[in-house]
Amino acid sequence: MMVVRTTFLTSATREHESKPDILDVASLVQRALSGDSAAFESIILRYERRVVSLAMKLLGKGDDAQDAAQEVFLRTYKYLHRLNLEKSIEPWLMQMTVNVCRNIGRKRQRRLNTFLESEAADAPTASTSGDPYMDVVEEQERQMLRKALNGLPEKERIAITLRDIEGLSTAEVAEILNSSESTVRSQVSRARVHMKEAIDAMMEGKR
Amino acid sequence: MNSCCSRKTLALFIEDDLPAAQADKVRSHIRACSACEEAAQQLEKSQSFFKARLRTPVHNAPSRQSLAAMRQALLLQIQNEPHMFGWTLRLERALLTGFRKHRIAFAAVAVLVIISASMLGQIRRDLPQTSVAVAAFDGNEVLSWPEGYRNWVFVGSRKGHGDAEPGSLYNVFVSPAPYAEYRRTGKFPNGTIFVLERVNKDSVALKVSLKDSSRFPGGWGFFDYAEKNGRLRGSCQPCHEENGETDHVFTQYYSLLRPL
Repeated sequence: MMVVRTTFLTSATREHESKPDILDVASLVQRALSGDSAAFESIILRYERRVVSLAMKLLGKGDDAQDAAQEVFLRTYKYLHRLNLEKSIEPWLMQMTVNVCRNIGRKRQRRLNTFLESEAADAPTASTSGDPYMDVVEEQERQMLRKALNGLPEKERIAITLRDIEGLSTAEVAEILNSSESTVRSQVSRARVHMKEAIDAMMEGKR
Repeated sequence: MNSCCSRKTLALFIEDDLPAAQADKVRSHIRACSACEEAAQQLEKSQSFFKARLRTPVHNAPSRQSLAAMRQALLLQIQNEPHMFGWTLRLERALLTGFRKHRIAFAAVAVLVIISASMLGQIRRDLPQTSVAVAAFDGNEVLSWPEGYRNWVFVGSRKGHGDAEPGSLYNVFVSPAPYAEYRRTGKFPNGTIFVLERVNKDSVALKVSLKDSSRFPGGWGFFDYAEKNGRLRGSCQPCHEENGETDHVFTQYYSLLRPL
């Protein structure tokens, strides 16, 4: 049986998910388990953006991220009865998201190897500077960083995404990855060094 | 300039990921080592650049409409729940959900089950062994003593037998499971054991007939117990074959063996 361990609140959402929220979600879960589909829809509504956002960061592609989110919520429904209602649901969802994205990533890799399909990152971001020229430059940098990130070994890529992009603590990342903190630290440190090398090469190319 | 701290250590230090004691050591080292200080600063710079670019909200994240479509598709899929869930998962869900809702009732049932199981175990231990009915051979023609035969089905008593001794009483027992099958089918199955117990005022002696078509010509073997083990005797066979009403057995003399 899959064991659901949900012993922490993510730092990114700690201020949002207080004890009453956990109780609220627990009541939704219980209603969903009794067959109330509206209650399950409320759970999806509550977490879909967080799940899709993490999936996009792990997969880099909007369509794949949406497929991943659908699969995550399907699994959530299937295994909802295993959730410890006294704990937050969010780490469990994050764990499932990571697992589903891993599977999709592996399938995609096989597809790439087979058909030499181009893997263009298709996620331009919102304008942050208000200057169209700067927006284009930033977008190019982002694309190159994503490419460098996608070039990392899977475990390093997931660890640095959760730790540095999602802003989770090392303990939280370890919990999601079913790993130890020291392993996560080692993966994150290697990934940071690799990313620095990629950034250095990128800056070098600009000069 | 080369730093003496490893870059991996510095990569953890700049984001406060090192354990406190190690972080203190690195901090005091960096104060004294300009190469490590510079390496740490460069890593810090690349980290903030990396985070600034990739933490930015993604512009083409799914729209409300596409999320709503995903939700609808998902809920439709869930409506096909019986096809989606295997029976093990459904059972697991029913048990876990039921346990959550009715913890006290489940606990009470569990206690009852445990008590009942232990009582049943106790009762079974106290019951006499009524079904010891397996023939145990020692070699090919020696049958072991039929332990517990007095707890088998008691067919009846007679005063006489073909080789009757004056003043002896003959009790007949049959192994229970084959007897039950005989009652059902009218045929004695292989493995049927009859015990003829001769009792007089000084001693008990046994004769046993055992049905085993693969072992004995005619289907039955007849054993005489002068001691603890029964020896195969060919002399019983002709009389049983000729006079036994049903398959070498004198069913005509015992009401329990007659057809109902």
